[in-house]
Amino acid sequence: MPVSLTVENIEKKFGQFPALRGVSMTVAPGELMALLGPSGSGKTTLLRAIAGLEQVEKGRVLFDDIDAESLSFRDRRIGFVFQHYALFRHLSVYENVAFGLRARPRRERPNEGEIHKRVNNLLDLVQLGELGARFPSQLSGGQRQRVALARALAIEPRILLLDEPFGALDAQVRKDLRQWLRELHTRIGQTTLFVTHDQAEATELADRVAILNHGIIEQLASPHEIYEHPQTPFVCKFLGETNVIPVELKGGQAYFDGYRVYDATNYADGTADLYIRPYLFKLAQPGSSPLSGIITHVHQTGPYWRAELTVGNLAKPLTIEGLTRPLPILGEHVAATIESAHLFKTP
Amino acid sequence: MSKMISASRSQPARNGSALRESNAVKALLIGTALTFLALFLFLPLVIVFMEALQRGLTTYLEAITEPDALSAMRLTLLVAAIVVPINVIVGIAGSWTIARFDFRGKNLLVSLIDLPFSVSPVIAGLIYVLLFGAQGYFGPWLREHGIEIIFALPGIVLATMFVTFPFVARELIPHMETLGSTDEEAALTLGASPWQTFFKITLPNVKWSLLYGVLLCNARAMGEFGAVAVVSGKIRGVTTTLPLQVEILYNEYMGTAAFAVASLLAFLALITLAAKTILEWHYAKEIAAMRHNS
Repeated sequence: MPVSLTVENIEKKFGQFPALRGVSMTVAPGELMALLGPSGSGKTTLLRAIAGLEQVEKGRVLFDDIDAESLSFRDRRIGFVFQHYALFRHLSVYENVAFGLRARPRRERPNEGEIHKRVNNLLDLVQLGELGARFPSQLSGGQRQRVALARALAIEPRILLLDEPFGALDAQVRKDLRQWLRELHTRIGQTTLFVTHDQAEATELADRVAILNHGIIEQLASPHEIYEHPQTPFVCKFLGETNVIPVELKGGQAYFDGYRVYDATNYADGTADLYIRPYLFKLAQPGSSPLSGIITHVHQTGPYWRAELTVGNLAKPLTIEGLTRPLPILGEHVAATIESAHLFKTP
Repeated sequence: MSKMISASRSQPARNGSALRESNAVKALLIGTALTFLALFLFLPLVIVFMEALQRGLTTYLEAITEPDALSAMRLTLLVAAIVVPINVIVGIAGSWTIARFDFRGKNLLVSLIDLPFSVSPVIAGLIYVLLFGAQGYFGPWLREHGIEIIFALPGIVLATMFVTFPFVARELIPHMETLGSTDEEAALTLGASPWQTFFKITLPNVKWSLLYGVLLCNARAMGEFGAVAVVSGKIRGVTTTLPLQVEILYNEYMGTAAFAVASLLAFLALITLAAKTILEWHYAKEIAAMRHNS
């Protein structure tokens, strides 16, 4: 039966540097969750703290309702896949996978026949049935990754933790493995938490994504929810390219440069920033919007075109993306209207 | 020490045209190296055996089976048998501590490990005489309790330990530092106990460095002269090791006997070298795998 994982108010400092500043979350039984954040956001520290590899100053970790603190390393049964796999180089693939079983105290240790059966089943599961006799140095990156996974699964872990599982692989292998891991998870139904800095990886794989920044969770929700309804400016920026336009809120409308640019019903008066994705602009006749200016760059990638619109009162040119033809022309005077934006009040 | 390792870890030669020397240059370089090796390393070794066998095999055998020579042989092996295991255990513990933990005074500790290399062995010997000798700090107390250190086996062991301490640690520290601790962490998450982790992961990971360290430590332990000369008192048949025995015989103009005993030492060195080569041959594949997978 899959186990739930709960983290309660974890705090951890490295010297003076606060790596985790009160992190709480719950991973549901059988869920595949991503910890997403830039480097230094504390995501790997959190993963290591859950595994017991890092001592925390405050807070606790629960597997269902068992406090992890009350369990020894062996009894925690965490399947941890390290970023660079940490395969034992002096042991064959087979012995790597068998390690966790052989390390058990004698009365709990399965006999040789049982170990043989389990290891071979796992090697088949990760599609490496033929390679048991090889040494890690004789494997490709993707194969090593799968050995590391089989080795972690051998101890029948309560939960599976993966640190940047695809970080060390090249682009094509990454994509294949991603899909494969998703399928594997569906098959084994293990509660899984993985760390990544790649938002595409997180949103493609995970049921829910926790976004970490400076040691706190900024938002924890489904990939759809975090993309469509980001709770903080950081989440909005981190998930994709955005243009930022400072605006004035008055009477339920947002004004840029004294002109109305966007509907802001239900927002109190004050200042705010509009966060707009490049494809959520529409080009219009010059003068039809306060966001008027000159096209200073155009190029095409695949079916999309991308253009830069330099607007007089904006520090940075707006990046605009579109599919419509004809393409904007370099030097052309145009205006941009906003189809949809995320609004964050500035303090 | 590092020479031995870099030679065995050398990369295959590149064939890029920019790096290819002309044949004449190649021949000159190889010729110089070989001449140097022959003159300074191989020739002395041959001469030791030639001089030792100069007066025939019977004289040679008599010289090395003479009671004092046998006793020197026994003492040398005994000292090595005590010193090497102690230095291995302390060396592993020290290297592990240094590679794994950050603590105040770590740099000082690393420099201290090197101290025996920078101090003359004679001074190392004198330190122990100063501490444990009859006129030394602990001398009177030791005499009261009937413990003999200087001019006895414990003194020789202490002096040899001091001189040979860096060999194991010096090999292990850089290797353990490059390996990092993730393999050990992986073993722990897989449910291995700290002892299992040490014997099944840490030790196998560094076993080749450890082996080099042990071989060098052993060679030096058997061959140490200066430090041992100071603390041994050179009591014939009691506190003379092989190198001391060679010196005694040589000073007494017993050249052939001196060379005969010296040949024993050379022979021990050759066995060490052969052991290392055979192991490298036998495990060539494994050694390569350990290096490429880091």
